[in-house]
Amino acid sequence: MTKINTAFTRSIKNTYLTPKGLVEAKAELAFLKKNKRLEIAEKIHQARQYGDLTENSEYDSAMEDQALTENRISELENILKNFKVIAESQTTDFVVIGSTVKIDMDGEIDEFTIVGRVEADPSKKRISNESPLGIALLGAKKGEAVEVATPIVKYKCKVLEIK
Amino acid sequence: MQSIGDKIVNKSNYPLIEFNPKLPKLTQNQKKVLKLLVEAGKLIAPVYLKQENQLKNGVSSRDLEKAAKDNPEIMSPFIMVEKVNGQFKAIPYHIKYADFLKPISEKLDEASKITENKEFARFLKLKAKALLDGSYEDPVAFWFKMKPDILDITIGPFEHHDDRLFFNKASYQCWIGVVNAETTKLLNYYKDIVLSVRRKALLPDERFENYKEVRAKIDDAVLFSGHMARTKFVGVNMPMNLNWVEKYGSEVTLFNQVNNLRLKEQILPTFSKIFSSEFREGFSSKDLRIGNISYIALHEFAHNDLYYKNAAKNLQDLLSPIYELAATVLGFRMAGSLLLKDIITSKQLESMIIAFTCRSFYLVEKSKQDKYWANYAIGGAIFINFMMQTGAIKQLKGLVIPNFMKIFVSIQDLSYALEFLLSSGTRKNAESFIKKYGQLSTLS
Repeated sequence: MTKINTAFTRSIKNTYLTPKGLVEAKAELAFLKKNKRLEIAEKIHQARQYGDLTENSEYDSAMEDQALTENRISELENILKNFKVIAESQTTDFVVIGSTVKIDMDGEIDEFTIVGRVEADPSKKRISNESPLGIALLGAKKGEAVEVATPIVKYKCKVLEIK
Repeated sequence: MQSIGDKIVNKSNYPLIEFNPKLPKLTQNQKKVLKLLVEAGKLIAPVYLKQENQLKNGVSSRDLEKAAKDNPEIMSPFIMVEKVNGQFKAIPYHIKYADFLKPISEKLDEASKITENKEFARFLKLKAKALLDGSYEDPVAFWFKMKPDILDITIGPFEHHDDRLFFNKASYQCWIGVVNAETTKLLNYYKDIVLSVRRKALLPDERFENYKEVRAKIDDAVLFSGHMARTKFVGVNMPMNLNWVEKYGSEVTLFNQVNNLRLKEQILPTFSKIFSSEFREGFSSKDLRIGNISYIALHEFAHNDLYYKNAAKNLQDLLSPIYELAATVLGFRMAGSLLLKDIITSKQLESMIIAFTCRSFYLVEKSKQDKYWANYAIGGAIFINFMMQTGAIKQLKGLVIPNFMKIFVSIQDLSYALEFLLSSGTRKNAESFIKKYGQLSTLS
């Protein structure tokens, strides 16, 4: 199961998800609630059997796991309260969320899909719509050059192809 | 004996460093093999010392070029050239240092016999043989075919940095490490992102693209011997021979403990010295530790976009500082792209630039006390002078004031200038460039 990136979701009002991302988020939430919680409860129960909780690394580890899981459940619930599904069929006239674009930026020829922030995974060529590059590219047409900037980095980026 | 950080042991000027990192659980067999590898690695230090003395043999680049007309083998990375009674004598390393190499080869052979990993055994056997007969390519070829073992060793003549004539003669060295699975996974995550992008070459016909195989790993270092103990490189990209890279691929290796050592010996003291206390408050030692290893990782990956076929022939002795700095600034440009894709933060990019700025100032200072470091300091001097001339770095009352936006713009300009030299520059072009920007004496 692909893990959805929720590191930044708390500040977002609407989260963009592809239909696949939505299915994955729902599946992950169900797994955490039905399976993972039980698994952790069992671990905590077993760790308690070892006695003294103050120097019990199994207990500490299980408690940490529990905190992470509950945090994740809460994040996924928030995403699923405030999401917008990106339509499968997209225009190729200009860049929208869901477009796969080929660009030339500072001599780098790169191709990636612009997705909602929670589904971003650069190792799988999925770039967030809220990244400086995503923001600059949205609305750009094929052949258009846009400026991508942060306070310390500024590049010209040319759209070579929109798929 | 010197003992610091992770219980690192290093006799003051002897080219040998023993690290004692906390290692993952090894089997009894792996422990036995590691012990033998360390014993073999330690024996490289005296070979390197002997070789180091012989590289200072008074043979000039003109002498070598002249002699190479009759005997091209003289230019081989693995042949020592000596002047005897006015005549040049070429002796292969494995013959010249045979007495030193035999016990090293025997240790590797012994390790190959006891390791339970058959592929690693084969690799060690090839290494043992190569030391004695000069068949250095065979273990390299096999290394790229085999599945990596948790134990990591590179031993033999490799790095060319000590050759100040043609950046060609290989120095004896050894590193031994244990692959750190967790940090290696993270490194490969970044490697896949960075190398999935195709970067345009200034002169495409002049560059060959190594997308065949680029491996990457982070080791917990156990031993550095010979050239590596002298230079204490945090990262390396092997092999250096471009024909071998073209045939087999390349491998980036970073060393956790050496990064910590550089932080402690070079980066943090220089950081305290050249930046104001207000500026320093913005960066923790952890920021700089990660910044340092990150810029070095990108530097090593950037080499893959800088394989210009004729650069060594054209730039000769000046290749090293140009090539290394080109990789560093290209690495920063790659980091800029990662920032725009939300993969790293501005703070991380700034930390990388600060770490390299500290390293540059450190090397410039070090080279004033020890000439060995002069060649390594040229790249840093070019970087600092270039940034100062564009106003990206200012010095006021002995303190350095960086403007990161200007630094980044200047990095792009510097990167193009260096890539031009690598792709189509002459030695004379490189010399003028170094004369303009690489003067160590202009920096205080």
